Amino acid sequence: MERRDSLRVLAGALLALPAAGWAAGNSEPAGGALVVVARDDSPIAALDALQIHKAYLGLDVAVDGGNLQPLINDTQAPLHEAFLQHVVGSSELNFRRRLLLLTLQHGRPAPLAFESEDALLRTLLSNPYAITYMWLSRVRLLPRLRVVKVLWQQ
Amino acid sequence: MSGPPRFRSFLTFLATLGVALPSLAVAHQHDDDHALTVFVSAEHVEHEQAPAGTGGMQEDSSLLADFLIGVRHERFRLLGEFVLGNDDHEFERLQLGYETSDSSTLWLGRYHQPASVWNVVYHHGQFVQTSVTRPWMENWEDKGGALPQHNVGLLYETEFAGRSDSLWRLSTSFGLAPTLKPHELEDIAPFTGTYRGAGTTTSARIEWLPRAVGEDSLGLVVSRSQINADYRPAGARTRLDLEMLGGFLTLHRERLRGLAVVYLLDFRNTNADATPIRERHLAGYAQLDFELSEYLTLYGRQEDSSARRSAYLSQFPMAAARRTLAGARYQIGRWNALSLEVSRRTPFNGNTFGEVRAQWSAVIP
Repeated sequence: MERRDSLRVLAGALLALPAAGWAAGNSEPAGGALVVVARDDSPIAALDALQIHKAYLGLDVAVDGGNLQPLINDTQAPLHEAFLQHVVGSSELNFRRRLLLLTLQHGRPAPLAFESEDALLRTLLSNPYAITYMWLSRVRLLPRLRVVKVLWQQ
Repeated sequence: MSGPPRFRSFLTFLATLGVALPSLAVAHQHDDDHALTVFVSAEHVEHEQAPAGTGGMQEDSSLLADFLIGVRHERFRLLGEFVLGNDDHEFERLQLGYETSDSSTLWLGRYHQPASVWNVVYHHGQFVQTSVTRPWMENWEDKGGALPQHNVGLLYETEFAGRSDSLWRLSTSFGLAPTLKPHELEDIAPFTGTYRGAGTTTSARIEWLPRAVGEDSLGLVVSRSQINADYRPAGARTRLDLEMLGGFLTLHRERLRGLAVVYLLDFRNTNADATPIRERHLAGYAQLDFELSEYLTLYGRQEDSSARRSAYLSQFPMAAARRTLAGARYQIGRWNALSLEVSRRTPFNGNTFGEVRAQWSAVIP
């Protein structure tokens, strides 16, 4: 019996690991949300999921008088994983492959990626059509940002 | 290419870099689109001797760097792709474009003709195509390809939204076609004089994507080429008319990615004093990639033709009446990959032989 219980615990742990990994990849505090933001005086009124998806695949998306400039927020791995899951719906390698194909086919650059939040915010605030994604809890601590789309909410 | 044209080509590359790099810097200052990406690959191949089938092995190695430059300033665009290899270097693409609308561009220059299904997707970016090799019918002219791939002229690309998030893409082109040399096509290269005596190619491609952001697509391609020969096979100057009609399908489902292409090829030698050639046959390929894990992909491809003999295609050592291959690609991090590929190939009018290829490919984004 003890051995069977041990196996059961082991099986449970193995089953729980992927779920724990998924949860870790979305480690926004309980009740949090993944949101897309622009600077507070941006003319962008609202965005839908398809527009955001297209923009991050490097396609031109015209909204409210300008073209979106998507910025990749690479400042923390769990946030980026949540973005891949909820926005582009693919793995990191497949996402990068799509961006390389875009460059090959049209000579278009991939969206800029930032590992530093300061640099990300500087670029975001310099262009009224720039967008990026953050945890909602982080947005509340930063001035001059406005949420234009809630991508995922716990 | 011979020495002087190659030298001119290299000088052109340096001159273009001289224009493109300041343009990139200016574009950077003005927040315009600009891209500089480098794809590199090193490949080693061992193959049985063909067609004698003596059992001996031949081997070959190659090293390739593909510099891709894209600049967009207001409605003008520049796209350059320069390949530097251990045995060749040339501008594979050099296009100046003008955006006639938000979704349409008119290009002038050297481009990949839109009826080539594989090459319009992957171009020279070895790193993004899973397999080491490309299907023989999509081979570049200077790598034994039998069908025109590079043209110099006008290319028009447009896309428009369809119903429920679908997308239509249309490309059409008209330009100078490659010239037939003994056992190879010589493509038109800028500033080299290779355009003298060249025929023309007209081609078009229409593609429907059920989801604009997806990878699934269904399409048709059509082309017509006049290929002039500047030597005298069978004692006469010849001109070959090639007509091609094709269809393709790409699918991406979770871990599976597939591409299937079929071409109806029609070759006609229209010169009265040469031995007439009139061949029409189907040729196609299907490749399936399976992601065993995020980093390891297994793949297989079958290339086939309805003909086993061809007066035109047998001039090209790389053309295969049939080829079966399988391989594995292991990606190392984001930007490197190692691939191993084995294949069996039957040339037109020839004997079957085997090949093993190993490749390292990478990209500097």
